[in-house]
Amino acid sequence: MQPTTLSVVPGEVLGLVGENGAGKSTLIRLISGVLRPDAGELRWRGNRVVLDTPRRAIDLGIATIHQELEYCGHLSVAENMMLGETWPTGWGRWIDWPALKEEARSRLERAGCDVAVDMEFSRLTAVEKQLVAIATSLARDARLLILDEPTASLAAPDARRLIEHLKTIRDSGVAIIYVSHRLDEVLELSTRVAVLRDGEMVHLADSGELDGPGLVREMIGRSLQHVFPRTRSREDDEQAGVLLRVEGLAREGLFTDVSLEVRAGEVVGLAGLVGAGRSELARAIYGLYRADSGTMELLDRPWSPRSPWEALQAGLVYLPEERKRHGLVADHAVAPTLAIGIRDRLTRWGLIGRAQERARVAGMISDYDIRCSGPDQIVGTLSGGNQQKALLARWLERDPKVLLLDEPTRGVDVGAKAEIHSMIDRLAAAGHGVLLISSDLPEVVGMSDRVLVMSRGTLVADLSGELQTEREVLQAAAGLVSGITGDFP
Amino acid sequence: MILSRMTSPVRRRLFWLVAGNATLLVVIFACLLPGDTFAGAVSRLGTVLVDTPRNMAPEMLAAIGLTAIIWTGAIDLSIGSVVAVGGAVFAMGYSHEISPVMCFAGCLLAAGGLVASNGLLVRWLKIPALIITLAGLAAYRGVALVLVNLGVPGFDGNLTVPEEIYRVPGRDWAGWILVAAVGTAVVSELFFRTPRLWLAHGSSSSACRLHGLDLSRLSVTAFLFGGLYVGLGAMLYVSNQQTIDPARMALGFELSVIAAVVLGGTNIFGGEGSFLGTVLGVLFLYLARQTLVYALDDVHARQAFEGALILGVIGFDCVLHRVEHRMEELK
Amino acid sequence: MRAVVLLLLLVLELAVFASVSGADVSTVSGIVGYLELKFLDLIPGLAPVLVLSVGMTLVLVTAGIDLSVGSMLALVAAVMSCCEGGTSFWFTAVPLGLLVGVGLGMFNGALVSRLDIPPIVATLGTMIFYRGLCQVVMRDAERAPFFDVPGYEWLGGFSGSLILLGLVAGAGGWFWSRSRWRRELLLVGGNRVAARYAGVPVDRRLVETYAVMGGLAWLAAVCFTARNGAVNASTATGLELKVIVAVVLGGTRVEGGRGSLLGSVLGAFLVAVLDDGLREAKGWSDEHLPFEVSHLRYLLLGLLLVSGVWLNTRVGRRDAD
Repeated sequence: MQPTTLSVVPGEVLGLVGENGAGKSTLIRLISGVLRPDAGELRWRGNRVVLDTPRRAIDLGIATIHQELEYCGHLSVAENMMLGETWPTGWGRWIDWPALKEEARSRLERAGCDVAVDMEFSRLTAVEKQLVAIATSLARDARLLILDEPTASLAAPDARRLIEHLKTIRDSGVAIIYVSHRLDEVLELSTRVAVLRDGEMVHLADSGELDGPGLVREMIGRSLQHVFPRTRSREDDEQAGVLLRVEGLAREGLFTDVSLEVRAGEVVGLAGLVGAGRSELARAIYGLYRADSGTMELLDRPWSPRSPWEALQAGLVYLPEERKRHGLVADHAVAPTLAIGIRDRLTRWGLIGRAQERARVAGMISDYDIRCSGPDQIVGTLSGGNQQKALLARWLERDPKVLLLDEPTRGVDVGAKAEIHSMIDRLAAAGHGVLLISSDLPEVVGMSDRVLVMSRGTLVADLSGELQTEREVLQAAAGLVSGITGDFP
Repeated sequence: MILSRMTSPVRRRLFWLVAGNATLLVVIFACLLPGDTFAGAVSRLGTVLVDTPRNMAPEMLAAIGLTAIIWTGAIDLSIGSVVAVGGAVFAMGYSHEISPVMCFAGCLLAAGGLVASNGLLVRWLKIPALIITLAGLAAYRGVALVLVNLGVPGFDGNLTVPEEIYRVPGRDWAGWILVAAVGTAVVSELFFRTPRLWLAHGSSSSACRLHGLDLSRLSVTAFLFGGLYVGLGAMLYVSNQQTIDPARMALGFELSVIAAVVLGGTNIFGGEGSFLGTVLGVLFLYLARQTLVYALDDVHARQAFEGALILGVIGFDCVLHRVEHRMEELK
Repeated sequence: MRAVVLLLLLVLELAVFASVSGADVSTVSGIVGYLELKFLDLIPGLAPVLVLSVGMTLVLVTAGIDLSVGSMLALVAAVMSCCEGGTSFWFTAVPLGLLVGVGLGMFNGALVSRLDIPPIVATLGTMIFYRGLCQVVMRDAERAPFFDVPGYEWLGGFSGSLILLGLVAGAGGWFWSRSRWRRELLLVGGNRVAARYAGVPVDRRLVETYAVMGGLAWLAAVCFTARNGAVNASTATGLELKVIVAVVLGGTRVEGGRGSLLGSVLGAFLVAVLDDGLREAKGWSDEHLPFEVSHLRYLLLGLLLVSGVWLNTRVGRRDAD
């Protein structure tokens, strides 16, 4: 990271944007006390401070809410909130549980959050966990709140709830540093925006002076003409064969009566809120579990997979939502991560030919532009975008007919995002079928030929053409829940 | 109220254990009934139960100690060998005519000290507890053997301790010591903060670090607590024996203790569990062994049944959550 | 790098025991002679531990552990010992033993994969259970039909053991390093959920792994009984400790996702040299030490484990395969 000078005042929100590897995480870690600077100084309220431990930063009033929240899942909400502090005691050193719970409850109330304090923490929903984390920090007199990709795993209404919440906090005099890839949110929330590129701050301006495309230009140093590439024709391909057909598929508690079709050369978007059952539907199609009822057809043959392996053999692949948890082994190198996707193609008599493997892996690295120092680089050290490209590459190398992509550009920087979008476009142009599950409204609207919307386990809308707008999608996704504003910036 | 602080799997296990223990008592009674009057069977059952604290005490105390260690995400496989060292120290003291109190104190301190030092070694060397205590399992047994050979003049494999006075802690006071120790443990998990922090450590050590908790201290206090209880257990174990044979005493002890802790509902990876569950788990295993004694004439089949029982109970509980677990895993 | 550390430790061990046992290692021919003698002596005794170490490496790669190997060996040997000696032994006892071994292994695998019991807990239970079954089969007796079987004893000798070990560690190792099965196991151990998403049949692979362990336990039982000729209810108690020490020393991690067969083989050698050296040192120790040197065995085993793991973590991480 190059020498950078930055300041934040109370009641302002500083948006921090930049591609992955631009230095955002480094900056955050310097401010939150995880890293020590090689040169320069940090001043807190006018005084020079040295943050040798994260604890020191927290004590000063700098609270960081990370993307991957750390919490003790087996303990209750109240205990998690009060974890580092002294707990109210009755006589002697006995814990006064009612008082503890009351304290937690009042902190949550003050922060405008209503969550049962008795609940096991792991049982909370994603947005509830975020809100509790924020409430905990505020209760510890945090004056500076650093939020790292807080809405990455949230769908629109949850993200909206969080953003409104943050506005209230901002107005109460707390300073916020908001790091996000969702540029629209950054522009809406921030007072000023700082853009990092290649380790230095290239732009710092009031948010009114910039717009989305302008920001992107600063971030990558060039402007992106087509954010959503579309090389294939938009004509109605009624002639195109149906690759995947799902009818009346249901699985108790997850989704009911879902019917859809994916044709050759088509990108079908699947939008909806978190919890709508989209990923679960995809997993059922992929064979990770069985549906209770309904039928499926893949390439004109009845399809009821007993395992994902059957799907892979039949030409159906699934890119999971969470690459760290469901896709990668962080310790492994790039080569085995890629090779496992085509292991059956590489095997003869149960053995894998070393030379052949090396050659195929090298081919994949160059074909899919996976930026790494070589096939032996540990995959956990790649950037999010390159990790995603690697996971996509290993399936694409199989030349699948149908692809189920679940949030393929989540947590991925703008450049890699564009590359993945053009990969998807090329796949459709070549006649494959893509089911694109995404919570990124512009992406799902811009990339798809048709947009299906799921809400609470059922399909509620099938939008295309003029109806295929972000507003329509959002309204359909929200269903009958009132209070969701129609306008989305 | 108290139960709400336990996670639901732990609560469920408590229920099954209470039911299981009651069932075993009924089965033992049923085995005692044939060939005897109702009153006679009841009194024999009473005899069995009266003996229970004394026989169960070493294992129960060690199990409670191990529970705290497991909560923090660590483990201690060396408990049996630690008891052997305690026995060796005791034997050394005995053979040099040291007073019984000092002998027992030495045993307690030696055993407890070793467990505590396991904790310190884990922190200092930054090696997983599994490895350190696996090494301890071997090494401490050797230490015990070396100690008796060096410290006990004329040691020839085992040492007999006939005097009644040495039976006192294990025979006469076992019940009281057990009640006091178990009571303290259960009360502390209900009302004190440190056991909750041990659970927090095991649940997510990174969250604890972020909240400013001193992980080293937590880990070491868990091993200290464990050491105290294992030391007490060692003391009672030694005083319950007529002969001290460091090569063979408490061989496999750690296995039945771990089995009891896991049976009691504590998650082997840490983060959830209860002392109450451990107590019931130890009781269950003990009653199961007793049932086998009365229900099965075949001495040789007993261990097989015990193993099958442990597997059965744990397997049954795991099967109940299997589907739920699978779906969770995929999320 | 790890292999180098292990080799150094091995050389150190050999040197220490050479001097203690009073062998002549001042000349090159003396050293060669000593090493030759050692090698001849070690291989038969080493065989069970080495065979089991190979299996344990696979189990550890899947992020599991198998504490029941000693009990499995004993039970297989016990079942085999129930058959009549003589030539028919080869057609009755030996295949039966294999069946039992693989079956016991598959039971372990089923507990771990189908019932979702954590491996350390499952194999702790089966360790007790299998040992109990062994007691049922043996009932205080010691049976020794093995030396009545023509050709069996040869397996326990130097050439027999060497061939077996060559097959298992050498050929087996070569197949393993190139197999697709290995890739899938590494994924299962590295991130089980990711393995499912990648289409790996996780449950089946786990059962296979533990079944292989069971089969190797059978082989180890054959090696053991070919050398000892007899079996009783407490055969091979504590063997699992030696095996785990050997594998962990060899660099395979308990967390799974990585493994080194070469390391496990070297680790098994280290453990075997320790055992053998202590036995040889009895004369020396009776003179110089007030206690029996066999007591030192346990102590040194523990120290070896800790120092080996500590050195491995210091020396750094590398994908070791």
